[in-house]
Amino acid sequence: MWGILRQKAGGVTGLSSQGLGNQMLRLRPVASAIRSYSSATKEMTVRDALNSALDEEMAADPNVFVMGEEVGEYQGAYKITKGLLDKYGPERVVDTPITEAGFAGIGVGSAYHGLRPVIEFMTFNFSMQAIDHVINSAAKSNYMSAGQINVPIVFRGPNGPAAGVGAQHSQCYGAWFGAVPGLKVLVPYSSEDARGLLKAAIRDPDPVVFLENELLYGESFPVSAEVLDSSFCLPIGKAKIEREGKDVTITAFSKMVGYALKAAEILEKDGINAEVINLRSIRPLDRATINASVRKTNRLVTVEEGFPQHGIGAEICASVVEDSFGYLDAPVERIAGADVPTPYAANLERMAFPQIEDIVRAAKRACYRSPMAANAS
Amino acid sequence: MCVFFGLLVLFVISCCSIDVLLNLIVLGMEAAITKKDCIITAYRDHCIFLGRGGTLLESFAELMGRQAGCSRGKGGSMHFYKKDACFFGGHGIVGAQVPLGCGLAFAQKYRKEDHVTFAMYGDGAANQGQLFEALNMAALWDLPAILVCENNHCKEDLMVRLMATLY
Repeated sequence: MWGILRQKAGGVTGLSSQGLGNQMLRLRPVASAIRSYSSATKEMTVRDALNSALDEEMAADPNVFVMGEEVGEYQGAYKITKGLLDKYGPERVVDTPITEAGFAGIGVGSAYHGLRPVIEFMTFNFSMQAIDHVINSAAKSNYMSAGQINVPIVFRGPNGPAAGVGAQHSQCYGAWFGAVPGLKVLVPYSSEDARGLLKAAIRDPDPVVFLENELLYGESFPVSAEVLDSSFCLPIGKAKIEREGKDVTITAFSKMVGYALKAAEILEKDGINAEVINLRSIRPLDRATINASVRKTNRLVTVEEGFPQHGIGAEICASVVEDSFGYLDAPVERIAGADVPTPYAANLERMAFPQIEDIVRAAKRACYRSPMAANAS
Repeated sequence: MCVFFGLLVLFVISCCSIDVLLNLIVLGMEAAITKKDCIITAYRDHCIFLGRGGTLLESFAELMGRQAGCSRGKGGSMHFYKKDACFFGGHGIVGAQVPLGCGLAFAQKYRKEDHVTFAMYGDGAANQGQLFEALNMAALWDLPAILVCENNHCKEDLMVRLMATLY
């Protein structure tokens, strides 16, 4: 019986998303008796975490409003804004035509005048239609006006590959936005991340790009009472060590954190104790946490789904080489999506993005534990 | 009360890159509006800045990249702002100021303010797609936005007849 409960708690894709919280889940009693156990950990999907964060921030501050395609009557393309139109009305939950450049600009303009918009891009692929407003109108305005104008706007939506959506709907924009001074770029993984970082983003006085992941929306994670509190907030720019280890550091963000944790379990069986860092924030990047970890383990593997050239891994590698070169015992291993527009066919798509076995292989290479054959990948 | 959105086309002949005769437009506008009404424009922003209460010292200092400039020397010619007088710049990307201006109007309507926004643009920016996107939403949501086209017949520097089929 306990085994069945554990499987149900493991989420649809079977990824071990509970991390160190497994102990609590194994002891969880049957559903009807949960109410009498106040210490039982609640489970929450990422979707509900985002929805509740939006709801609470809109309730707390009348200047917060949501704008985007299908956010109102349709309840959100991915149901992230479900129920908000009924609760707050059409003036605060604004459905737009398919006009990213227009509504992103309107959002930024409203932020100039003191409102706190949350602009949804149906996916960040469409942010390219509006990227001038994200970068030139939002990110740079505080600097160009010498502090007169601040832009408390959040651009949020799913980022990166989904499943079988093709080349134009699968790109990761972390590296693009992460390069721009004046922006903050957040990449939540768990429900705790989603709630805490979205609340922090909405409360932040500067533009924030909030990169979610479509495939994580339905995943459940345990959330403590502290996380469920309406004042819960995570600091921007701090990474989280999801799993402590001493042999190799694996950095990841968003969906890849789950893959990295799975890879760490497989590596454990081979005697490699991996430390997994959930970046949570691409800009500012938590260089201190990453470097401290590499100074401890002496080996680094970076994981991302985006294109390899000029990617997040490249920046992390440069940071480590600049700050902790003497501590490295092996070259940095950088795993990224393949340098190709995303193919549609499922088998090709699988080959175009990092899989758990790729992370395991790279970690073994970093530990000098892989076969020395000439065609070893 | 919401002011209905209108499109004013002012025919001002000027072939200079310097917005010399923009003065007239600014003088006319400032005579009719308050400092709580918002103005936003592209990069020909010097006269508007002065009309909103900015000083010549701040203007020249900014052009020279000095700290005494209105943007502390960090913005430059195209990025003059005066937020306390509701002048929101000063934008280098032609056409971007129109959706931004409709956003200012959106905020005014959201807050039930009794003011309007003047989003200024030129005959060149009139070809920008985002202008029509913003126009559509301004009409859809009845925003208090007035789009002011300064038609000097010069899209940036080149004659309009070479640029637009609808002219």
